[in-house]
Amino acid sequence: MTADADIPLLEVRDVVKRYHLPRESLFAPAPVVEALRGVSFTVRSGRSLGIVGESGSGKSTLARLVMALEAPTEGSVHLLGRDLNALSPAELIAARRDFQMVFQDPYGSLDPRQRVARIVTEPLIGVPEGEARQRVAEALDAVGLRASDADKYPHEFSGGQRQRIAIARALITRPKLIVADEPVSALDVSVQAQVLNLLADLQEHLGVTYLFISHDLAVVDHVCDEVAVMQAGRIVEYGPTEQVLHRPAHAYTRALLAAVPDAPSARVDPAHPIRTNPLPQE
Amino acid sequence: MDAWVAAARADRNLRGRGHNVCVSSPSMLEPLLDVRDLRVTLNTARGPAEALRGIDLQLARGATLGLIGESGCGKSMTAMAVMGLLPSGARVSGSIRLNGQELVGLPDDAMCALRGNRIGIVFQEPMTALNPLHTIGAQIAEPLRLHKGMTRSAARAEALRLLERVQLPNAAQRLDAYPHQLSGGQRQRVTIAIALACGPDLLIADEPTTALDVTIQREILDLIHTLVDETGMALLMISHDLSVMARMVARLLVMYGGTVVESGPTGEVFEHLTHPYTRGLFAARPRLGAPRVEGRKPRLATIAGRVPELADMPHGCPFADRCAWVVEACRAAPPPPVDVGTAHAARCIRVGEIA
Repeated sequence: MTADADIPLLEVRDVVKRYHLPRESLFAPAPVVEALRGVSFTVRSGRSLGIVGESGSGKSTLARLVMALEAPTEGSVHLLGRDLNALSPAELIAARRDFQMVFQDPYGSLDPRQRVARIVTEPLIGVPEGEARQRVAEALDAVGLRASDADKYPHEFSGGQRQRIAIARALITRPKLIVADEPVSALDVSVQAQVLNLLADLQEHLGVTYLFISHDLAVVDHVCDEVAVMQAGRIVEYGPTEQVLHRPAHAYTRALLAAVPDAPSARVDPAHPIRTNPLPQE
Repeated sequence: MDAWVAAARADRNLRGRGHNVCVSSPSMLEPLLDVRDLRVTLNTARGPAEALRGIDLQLARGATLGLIGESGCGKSMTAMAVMGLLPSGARVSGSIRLNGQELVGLPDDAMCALRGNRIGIVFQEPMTALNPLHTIGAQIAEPLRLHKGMTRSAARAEALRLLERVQLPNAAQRLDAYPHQLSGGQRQRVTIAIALACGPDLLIADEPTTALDVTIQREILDLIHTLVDETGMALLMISHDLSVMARMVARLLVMYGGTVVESGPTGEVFEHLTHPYTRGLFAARPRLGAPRVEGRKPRLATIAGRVPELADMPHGCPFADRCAWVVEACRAAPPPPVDVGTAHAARCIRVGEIA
């Protein structure tokens, strides 16, 4: 992070993604849907960019392109200055340790028949077994789980703990970028607070960069330094969070904000704070 | 106070007829829905466990009531008990009276005559609530034919009227559409049309907007709001979302561990958060526009520990193991409701010291 401070960690340039729909007629070309229509942004190391927008705006397509799970139709995705789609398959596999993903549903994203240790080590390729075990313990510790949890199955955990396992799986390769697609949407308010605090701690201690996709503007406001608002495959507004969410320029951003009722102020007496749940440090 | 509480208050004043009855002092008039000491015991892998531990709630005709809480607190279980849709093997005690009729122990066929007729239901996920193999016209017509004995053509005409009522665009063409041809918000409009079909006395809405986009969410909430106002049906709304409650209901019950820990007029509860759990729930919520310190947001307050499993629920206050205020007496017996304001009560023995 020292030498390449000037190179953005992630740079997405003029990305267009078109999908062909099933042919409707024998005599007409297959209809094409343009999921992304020229999207550009950069994320600097250790920062968080939030992507907001409604279903169908292209948020998740963007996540798949950044994760190099699909190639853009036009444009390019650069991670640490390297064009992900120009890499050979072997180079791409090696590069994948730098970017990992956390999914929305902590019930669907963990294999119920694998123990936590196996789930969490899956992204580690070519690491000796002894070191892998050490890394599992580290990753579980970083997300506030016990090393002994490695031998358990996902069903033995609550939703918030499962999301911690998913985050541990993303952390185990010591990635620079974590793409989080609605990571707290499936969680209850009090559990959501724990996971958001964890994400903030990891950023502070490990310098992780987040591409944070969410429809919840209050969550994005809490987590992200910058925000890109997407509508119909385009970024319609992009800038520092405070500016975009508090002085929105685009009508669509204003419409999104208008749909969020003002949040209730938390009236907690400082003399008698709610007992908080500190996460294990280190 | 902030705009949000003001809105809840204005809203309450606006709908003047929403005279909700206080949980601790029942009114002379018989409420539409009167639930007393409702207890539900479920068979879990670890033996029988009490999922509802003595719920009391009253809902007057045309009034609105919200149940709020996190997963496993019993809010949906309460609604399911009212609808007679508890899982098999569930044991129910206490009383649920709708229009004076006792629903606990009611035979299945009698319950079927009420459900979809006197009680309309809107669920969270409109795709699974609708049958993918039937047209939406047929699905709206079903309760009309079943409960009202309408002819096929009369039911179809009424279905069209209902679709127009829930503002589905191109309603006439959509009558023969299948659920997959509609968007999420449009599907939810269809389930609302089905719930409204027989002109119910009570609409139960269980997380009706959780699966929808924010702008669609608002449209659906506004629609339910308007329909409740126009038809005079009562609304029992279930949600984990405080902001949804602020907009929709005049009275709020906060649930935790199968009990109602706090109840009161919505604005009053928001203004004077009383029970430690209610306070924790509010404090844990990220807020749009909360100030930053050195470019970063302060950590969110969290509630220590996690919701205990049903079989492990403490004998006394269910929140005891997670509460910063806990004393020995909290664990001795379930705390009684303590009045803390006008029709505002909290089940906490230390409420005087906290508030």
